[in-house]
Amino acid sequence: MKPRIGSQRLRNAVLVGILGLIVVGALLDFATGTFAAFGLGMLRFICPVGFLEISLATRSIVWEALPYTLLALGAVFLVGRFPCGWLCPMYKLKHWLASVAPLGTLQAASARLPFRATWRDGLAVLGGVLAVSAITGYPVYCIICPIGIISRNLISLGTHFTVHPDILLVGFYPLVLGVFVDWQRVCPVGSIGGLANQRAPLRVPTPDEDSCIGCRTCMEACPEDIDLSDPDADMGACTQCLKCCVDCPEGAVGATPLDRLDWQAD
Amino acid sequence: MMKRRDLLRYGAELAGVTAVGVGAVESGVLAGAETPLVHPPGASTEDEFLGNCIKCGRCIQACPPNALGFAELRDGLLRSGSPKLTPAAGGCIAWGEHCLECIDACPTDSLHPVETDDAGIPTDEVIGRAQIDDDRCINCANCYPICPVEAVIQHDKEAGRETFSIDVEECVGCGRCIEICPVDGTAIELFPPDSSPAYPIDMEGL
Repeated sequence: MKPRIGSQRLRNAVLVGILGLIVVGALLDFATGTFAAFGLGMLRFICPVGFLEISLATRSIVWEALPYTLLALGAVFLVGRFPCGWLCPMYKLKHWLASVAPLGTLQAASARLPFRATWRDGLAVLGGVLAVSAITGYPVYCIICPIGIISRNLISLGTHFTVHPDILLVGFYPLVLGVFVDWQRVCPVGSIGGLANQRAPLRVPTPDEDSCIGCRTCMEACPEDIDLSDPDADMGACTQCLKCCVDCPEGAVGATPLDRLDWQAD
Repeated sequence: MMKRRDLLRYGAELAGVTAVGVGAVESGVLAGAETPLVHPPGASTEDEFLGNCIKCGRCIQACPPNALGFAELRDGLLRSGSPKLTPAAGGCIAWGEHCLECIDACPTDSLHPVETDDAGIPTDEVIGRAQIDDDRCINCANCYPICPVEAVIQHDKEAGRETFSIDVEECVGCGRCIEICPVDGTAIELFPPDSSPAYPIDMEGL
């Protein structure tokens, strides 16, 4: 059956809704949290990178934050790298910038390099980020994380009707790193999702070999250039945008967790 | 099995990021200004507070009078993104009514719970010290009634000071006086609790 979810419009609506919620929360003095610690009241999803950073920086386990960090980690290891494609404002920004001619050309050129970054490089960067926290005693990446910077400026917009100059740092990531590597793939936060993608039980894009007609439509639709028919394809880059599922003329790419469970039962 | 070449690649990346990050922090090029900042209630020493803060902004989002804002890059990179009291936009109301929403909102115990009385007013917490610059004070008396801890002193001339001043032993640093001060650019300034007075007053004459 051809799935009816996963259009770009739906993803945009989810992202705009989340960003709007942060601003409205700030306007109404209501803590919705941001991507660093999202949730209402005591139900919070704490960013695992932030938790690891402060635990290493203070050389102690921050018990108050541990359950909510495990909650976020558990969700990611269940559904895979879905937050990258659906919730991350930088993902949207990157694809938007890549559609601007000179940046798109640079991105395309970097994709032709023999060196292709993967989520494993991201985990190495994450290791470096955590080492910096452990050595200096400060959660340094929290400060320069573009997701955090966007979140904080949304709050400033809602509380003081202003943005800070640090919002300019956000442009650094796609502009500078994009020249050398596909920076999105080495994002230390996203790399945890890349790792989760290897085993996540509810990860969706799974080609059904029996119905696949080999038309390669899924590969053309994929913003990460993943070839689903290649068993060695780097699924760690998949952000679960579901474009492949929607575009597949045969409905051969599972789009809902239920589809996937049904296949496993066969 | 991971190939040796891969191991080298990931090892080099890890070491590279570590070296750049530690180098940038330890060299002090990103340290920024040394201007003292006043933190929200529940923050302990600055190093401990900054080490625990994931810069999520929940406290700033939750603050009813919008008394909290983000420290900026010019306040120093390591402080950037953490909450600071911005009294010109509004002072902390925690000593006037039950609040401390920022401590409730903090997900990482960067802001610790503080001791309060039955009405939910902090009893021992001091987040800063406000001081009146007698060169700028116009003696309007706005700060006198708004102070929740009655720290504003109205001097008579025999005490050697012709303007209002603030008893640094009583002041908790909420910044309500700064919010109400009509002087352009404010005649009152807020300092961290452990700083030495910038506008010393002669308390002996009182």
